[in-house]
Amino acid sequence: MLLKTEFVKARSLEEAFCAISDRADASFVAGGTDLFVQIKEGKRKPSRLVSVREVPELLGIDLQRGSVVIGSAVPLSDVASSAVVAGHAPLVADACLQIGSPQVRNRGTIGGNIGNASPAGDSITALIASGARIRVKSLAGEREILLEASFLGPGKTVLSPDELITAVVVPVIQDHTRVAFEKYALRGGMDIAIVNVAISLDMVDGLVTDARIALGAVAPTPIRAVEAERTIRGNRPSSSLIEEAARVAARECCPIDDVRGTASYRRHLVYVLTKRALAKVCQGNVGRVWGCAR
Amino acid sequence: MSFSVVGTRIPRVDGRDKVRGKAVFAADLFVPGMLWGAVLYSEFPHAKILRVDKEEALKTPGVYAVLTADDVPGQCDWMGFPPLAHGKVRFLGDVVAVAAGENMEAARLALRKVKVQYEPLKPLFSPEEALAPGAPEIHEGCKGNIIPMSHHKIRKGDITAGFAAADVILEREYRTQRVEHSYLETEAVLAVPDGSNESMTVYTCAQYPFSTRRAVAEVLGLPYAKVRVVQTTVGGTFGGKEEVIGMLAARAALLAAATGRPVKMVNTREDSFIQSSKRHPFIMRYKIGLSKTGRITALEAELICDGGAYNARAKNMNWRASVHATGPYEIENVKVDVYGVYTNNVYGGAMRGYSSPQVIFAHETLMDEAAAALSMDPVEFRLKNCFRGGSVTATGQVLKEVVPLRELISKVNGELGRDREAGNLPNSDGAPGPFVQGSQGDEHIRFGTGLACCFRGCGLGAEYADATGAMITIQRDGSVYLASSLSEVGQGLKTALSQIAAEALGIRVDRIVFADTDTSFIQDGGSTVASRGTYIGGRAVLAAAKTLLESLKGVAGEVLGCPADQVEVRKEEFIRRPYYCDGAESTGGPSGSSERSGERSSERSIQRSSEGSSERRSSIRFDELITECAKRGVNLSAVGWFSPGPVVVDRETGQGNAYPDYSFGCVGAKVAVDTRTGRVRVLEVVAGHDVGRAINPDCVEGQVYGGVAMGSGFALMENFRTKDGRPIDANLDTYLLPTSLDVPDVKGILFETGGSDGPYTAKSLAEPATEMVGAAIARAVSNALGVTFRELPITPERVVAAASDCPKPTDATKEARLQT
Ligand SMILES: Cc1cc2nc3c(=O)[nH]c(=O)nc-3n(C[C@H](O)[C@H](O)[C@H](O)COP(=O)(O)OP(=O)(O)OC[C@H]3O[C@@H](n4cnc5c(N)ncnc54)[C@H](O)[C@@H]3O)c2cc1C
Repeated sequence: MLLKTEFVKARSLEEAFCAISDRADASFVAGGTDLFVQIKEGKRKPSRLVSVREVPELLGIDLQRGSVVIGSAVPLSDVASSAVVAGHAPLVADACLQIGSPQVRNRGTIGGNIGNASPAGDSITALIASGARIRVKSLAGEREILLEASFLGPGKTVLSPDELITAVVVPVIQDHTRVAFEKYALRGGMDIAIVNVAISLDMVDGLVTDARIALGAVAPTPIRAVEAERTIRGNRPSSSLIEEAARVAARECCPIDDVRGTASYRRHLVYVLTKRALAKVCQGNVGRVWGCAR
Repeated sequence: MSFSVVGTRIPRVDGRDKVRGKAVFAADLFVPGMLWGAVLYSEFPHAKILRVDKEEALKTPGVYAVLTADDVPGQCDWMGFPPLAHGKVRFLGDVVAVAAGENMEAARLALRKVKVQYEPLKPLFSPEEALAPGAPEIHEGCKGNIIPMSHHKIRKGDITAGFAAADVILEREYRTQRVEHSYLETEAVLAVPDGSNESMTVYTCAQYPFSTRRAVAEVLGLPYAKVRVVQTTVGGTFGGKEEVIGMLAARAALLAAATGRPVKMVNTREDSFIQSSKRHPFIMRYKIGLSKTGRITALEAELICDGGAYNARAKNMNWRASVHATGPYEIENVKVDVYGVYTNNVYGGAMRGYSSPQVIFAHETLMDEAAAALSMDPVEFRLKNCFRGGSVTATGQVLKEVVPLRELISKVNGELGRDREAGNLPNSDGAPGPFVQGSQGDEHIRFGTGLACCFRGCGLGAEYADATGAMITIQRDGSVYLASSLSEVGQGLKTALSQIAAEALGIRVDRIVFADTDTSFIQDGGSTVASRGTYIGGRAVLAAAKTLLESLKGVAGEVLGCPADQVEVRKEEFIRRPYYCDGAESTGGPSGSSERSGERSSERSIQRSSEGSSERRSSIRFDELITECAKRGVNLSAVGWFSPGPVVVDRETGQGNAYPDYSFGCVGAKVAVDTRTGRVRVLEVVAGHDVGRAINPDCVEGQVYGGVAMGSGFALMENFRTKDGRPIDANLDTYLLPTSLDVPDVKGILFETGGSDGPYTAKSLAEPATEMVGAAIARAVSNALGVTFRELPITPERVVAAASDCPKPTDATKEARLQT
């Protein structure tokens, strides 16, 4: 009579793969901060949960050949407080710190944030702007995918159910790279973004040599604002250029009305936040950017 | 007057258990053989029930009962609410069937197999639709869908003449939203039938256990005395755990009676959102007449609340709204009409403040608009028109007490003004806030201030007879058992009443053990509502203490050799008055003696008794006195009862003395508004309250802080949105409440004016603590943008929309700012 869900706590990658592959409707679980909610709401009914939270291979944060490699089961709070991440991938640390509350960050993982594939996932936008890739493994083998290419729609990724994200690979920030993350939600904490924006600009001799702008919660998946990037790439930043790029970003996103905000308000916020983040990055500190950070 | 317990900051007497997680809530209870109950909701917001078929459902394994309205042995309705819908469904939270099973899943599975045939009727989702000619009747025979007894009128002076005398007339409409209580603990109940199944014990987190008892007794057809409701720890209620608990308890009791087994029902947050009452949304139309000199010549108001599908509160709540519709302003000519309307929305109920947060938002916005229309400073305008001692209210009541309103307004305004002078805030002249440069933020941030003031009738007033009881029993070891008809619901009543009892008996507060409410052991003394717990409940405790003191002093007199009226109590010591000698009181001496001489005499008495001297003692300690009482067979249990007496008000004109006392308050808010994102940050709230006397200043401050948090949610975030009667926000992930990161700094200013009828002159505070906050914040946001918000909540989207047409500060004002 009861909904019977088996819970398997994997202690190694091997155990995890065995447990996931001999049951059709099994699901990986890490912190469960997304999955348990979905189970409670009846949206998902896995017959077996395979917990990867204690798999040692998924738990480290390392520097490897020019990249910060974050194990997928690392709790968000550890990502946010890691000196390695703060020093070499500050955008990611900043975004993780703005997720939920201390309790949620202690429980939730970076792999779970990606696996859940919410268009509003805060770490995702930051990772996309940082050019991150994910390492994915199954019994069939291992592959590495560009993160921005791994989402198909809300809650949908290119991974098959037996594929596990083992790590997130974030290129180390260069000396000439400047970054900013902006999240806007109704309240100061414990709230999903109405819009989030992550920006990474490479600046050489006052010229933007490369630009990556990622937008969250304004399309079925997190997206890159390619047109806006093109607007500033190769140019010298000025307030009119920033204004222009922010307008372009607002134009190219495709938000919808939902419980958190209307499409037009979201579009407006993309403009405001993109402009704010670009100003921060290009003009140095324009004063504490009030209202977005906690 | 000096006190030893009253006015001290003792820790909450129930605090330890709560902090350590030891407090027991209804959902924590498990008894052997217990079944779980579940409900089947209506599929339509408005429909006839044609047929209910539970055949299949009954066959579900592990299911012991599936019940519908046909199975109710007693009455089908309680306070007009059907625990099981019969004939019709009127909103989506109506319950058509209940089931009890070995576990929740079994019960739910059974309910999925119940087949209900409906004939959908036209649903009405707003008062406008429900009032429209030709609208269907939601309750048969209820013409025009106006809730019976919900229309209250105030007629004072000559309204036509008042407007004729006006130089300026404004007409405005204000609206407020539906708000969910969002108490931490969702509703839970455990119903336990006795062996013979002829009586029922119910454990639940009821706000008003006697009303829950009535619900259970009525549906089961049992006498009240055969139903016992035991209140478990209440994890918040704010007025919410009334109707929903009565119905949940009735359903669980029906299942328990049908199966002969204990039945537990626990609401999920989603159930709680669907089933529980909400703050009534109001449409408030005001017309105000003003003289050029800044006086209000007339005020006319039509207030309409959306009562939802059923309603037990509008008749009382609207009375309160009518009395307070003018705000704390002296107006000679007043015409007020308040009424409630049935719709197919979730029903309205009591929520902290009752109708006041809504009404205060309207009259305080109106006052600012009126001041602006006269080009007057809004504070000056308020000071000119507000109540003072001897003022006459809209119901014709003369305010006999101290009315510290002007002082409160000046003080709170002074606090806001401090920042204004320091250049941190704009002037309250209705002009938009200035650019603020530098580290404070950027040019898109505007600062603003606003204030709101109010008066509030303490207790129930003319709503219905206000009376309550308490019982104190002194045990043989000197510990004291205190029971009250009113309940601890998280507000701190146990602490306040324990302090009052200890003060009155002259004993240490740690002797007192406060009993949880149990309907079989204490009399019904009305609901713990209307901020009456301390104010009215405290008087009942004093009444019981008085009876006990008489007995104690009588025995002390016998021991000390003096009449009872010559015995004084101080710090656990019953002392013969020092000026009393040999049956005659000496002349000239004050009746009280100094603390020190009292102590000396007690030392002496101890010495003497130890020497076994036959000489007359001058004092006896509390513990010894209890033993003496026991030896003499003296009753040390007393029941106290208090009623401020009947309040008589004329129904046609609303004239009369509406409440025995009023408390007064003024709240100021400072906000920063980001005009680009629309975010409003409440920087500080200054809360000025006339509390009469703070029985426990910590508890008072706690009420103020909580009230500010709740009020800021009302102003800026909370909105229980529905679409076609169905909640859009099913849980707290999208129904957003302020978190600790959103709550402003709070500065509390407490006036202890004394002079009320409350215990030790305490007045009501619980509701004043929140009722002005929303209005003050709304005024501050309006001040920051130079745009008046007439509807709550002020969401970022509304701010952005308003900011786009808000006047831009000129360079001149910018310059001026930089110079000051
Ligand atoms: C109160 C609350 C507040 C929140 N606030 C925010 C917020 O502000 N911002 C935000 O972005 N999110 C927020 N979230 C969502 C959630 O906390 C995050 O998405 C979190 O990172 C999920 O991690 P998890 O480990 O708990 O995921 P889980 O719930 O364990 O898993 C989520 C999904 O990912 C899959 N998965 C997990 N690990 C892997 C893996 N290694 N490989 C492949 N698939 C995997 C699971 O199968 C599942 O489908 C909030 C959640 C709650 C409950």
